[in-house]
Amino acid sequence: MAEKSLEQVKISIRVEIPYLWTAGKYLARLYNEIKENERFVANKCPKCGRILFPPRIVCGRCHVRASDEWIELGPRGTVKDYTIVYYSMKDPSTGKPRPEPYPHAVIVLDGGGLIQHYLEETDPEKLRVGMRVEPVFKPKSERVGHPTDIRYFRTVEE
Amino acid sequence: MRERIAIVGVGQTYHKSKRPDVNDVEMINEAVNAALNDAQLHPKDIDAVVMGNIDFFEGRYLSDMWTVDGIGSYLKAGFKVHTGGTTGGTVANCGFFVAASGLFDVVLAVGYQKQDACDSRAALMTWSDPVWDRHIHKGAIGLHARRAALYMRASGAQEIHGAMVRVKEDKGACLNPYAHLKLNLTIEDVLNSPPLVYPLRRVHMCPTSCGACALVIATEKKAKKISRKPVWVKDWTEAHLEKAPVPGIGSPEEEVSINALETAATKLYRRNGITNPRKEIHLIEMYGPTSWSELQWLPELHICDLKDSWKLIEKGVTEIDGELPVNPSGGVVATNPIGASGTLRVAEAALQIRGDAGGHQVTREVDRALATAYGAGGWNVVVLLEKNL
Amino acid sequence: MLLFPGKIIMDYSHAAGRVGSRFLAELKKSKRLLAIRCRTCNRVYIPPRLTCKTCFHNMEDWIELDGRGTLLTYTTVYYGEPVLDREAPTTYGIIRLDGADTGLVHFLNEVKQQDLRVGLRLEPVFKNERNGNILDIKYFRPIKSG
Repeated sequence: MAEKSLEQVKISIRVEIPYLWTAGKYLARLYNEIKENERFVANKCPKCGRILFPPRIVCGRCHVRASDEWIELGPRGTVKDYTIVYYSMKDPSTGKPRPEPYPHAVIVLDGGGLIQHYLEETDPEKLRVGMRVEPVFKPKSERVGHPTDIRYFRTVEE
Repeated sequence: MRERIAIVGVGQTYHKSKRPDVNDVEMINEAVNAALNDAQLHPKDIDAVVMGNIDFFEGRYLSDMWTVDGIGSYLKAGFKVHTGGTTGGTVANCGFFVAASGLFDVVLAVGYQKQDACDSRAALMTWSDPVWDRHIHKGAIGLHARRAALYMRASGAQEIHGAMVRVKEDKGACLNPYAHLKLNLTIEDVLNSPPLVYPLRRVHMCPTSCGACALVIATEKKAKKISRKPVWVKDWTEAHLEKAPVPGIGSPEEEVSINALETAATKLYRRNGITNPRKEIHLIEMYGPTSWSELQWLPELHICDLKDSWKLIEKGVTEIDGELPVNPSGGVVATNPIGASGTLRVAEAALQIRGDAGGHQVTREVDRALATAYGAGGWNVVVLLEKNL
Repeated sequence: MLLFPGKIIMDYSHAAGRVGSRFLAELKKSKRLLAIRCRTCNRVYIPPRLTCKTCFHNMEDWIELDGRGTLLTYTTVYYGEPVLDREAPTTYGIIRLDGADTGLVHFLNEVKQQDLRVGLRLEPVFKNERNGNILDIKYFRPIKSG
């Protein structure tokens, strides 16, 4: 079994590639509204009527051009579902994991549209489906027109 | 107008979390040689090749070029496919398309993945939209955790039912010489396994495996010459979602159910006159990335109602000696070389029909089997295999 | 129109495999260059690989080459690439080592631009600190006459 004693050579390589992604005019409008006015906006499919959030150029189901009529959503919403993340995972954007555990939720914005985001509340006892939340934005001077302009959603009493 | 086709050879590597002893090409070559041996063919008998993997996991683009020598595709017709987690299933389907076209007699379809090359959970996150939701993405685990939680709420299933499925899968894997994880699990082991994302525990989630799987597919005339036990590929369907059912981008109704699987299955049944799948299908090799998937998706395949799927595991229906065995090989939860996982489902279902599955051969006679493949990208593949033409 | 600059950063570890490991381990240990031969068509491959591209055999016959070879083609690159371990300009070529049927791609050095020509006889220069990598060969240079 000469094979067994054979050295197993490994080659280690870090791949670090810069990218430049384009938001496009529909998403750009949403991000600008977040950045300038702390507002969520969406458009609609003229055929099936569903809200397209994030806004986009075409309804993937009806294959029709989305309308250029804009509606405002939220900013408050309701937790539709949540989970708690217990393991750390590398973020390919940084090569580093993020600290855990942390709550992660799917929120239905008032008026429609789903967004997934982090929650401020970390106590599992206080988390529940149906809880009312609102976004906490970075200060205007730090906002750049990126989803991370929203820090997280916090619980609100209504 | 299409040729009738059959699977006349299957081959796979053994599957492990790491294969430092071989490179990609050498690993693929093990599966290709096994499939060619099974069919008693030489590479010169192969007319066209379809292959696939997820490039980013090996960090090497153009895998179709790099693997030519391991597959034996030098100067042959063919192409590569990549549909995320579904890749292995799409590889099989594209092999069927090519063979059924009548342009080629014998087609080789090869799926592989070598997940020891990088942290593929991190690589997987590059599926997400860099503009909209990469900053918040959690890969496959969070998505399946949320689906499992929704399923529990909708069906009344308890944690124990996910555990029962996991133990059943492990029993199969322990009997399967090629399977990756063989854990000899008890229900208590599963319930005490560390949580990842509620309600998913570590042992519920599929592993990252290295491995490859190859199928030799032939048209009717050739198939009858090549094999004493050709497994007929009766039909195959696919359906795709609008966008990944990740709620950063997505619609509420696409979360609980992956209705693309239901769509693909319905189309397949209708085309083949299957009206009572629960009785007419004898075995399922399902691409289930977690132990909860089987419970969530048997209803999508019209095997039972959503509220009844956990009762099937309670009654032992889906066990290896049950009336409708599901994943007797151990499934994806035991063995997950992603680009090969869908191909393995087809290969394992074919072996069960032939009666050649070995240790994990099911008790009942299998004349008709389903194999599925799934990927978070939204592709769903369903394949119908039959013993008789 | 918004643009999002970002990065993808991933660490990979590639197995050289059964055949590649033997070549790289031998290079590291003893500066010997091993090729592999197909028994059916007698083609000799370097770098070595598992299967012959036309015969599809798993090859097993190892041959040691003395490292000398002939330049088949070459060019000079005047810009840097982040993945390369050396600065521009770099000259590289395809070299057929004596006894091999395939071309080996590697850097050329210790040679003036005007002296480069197809057919030039070359020899490898090895690193002193070797770690089992094709760059354990620093480059090829013209064989010093006499």
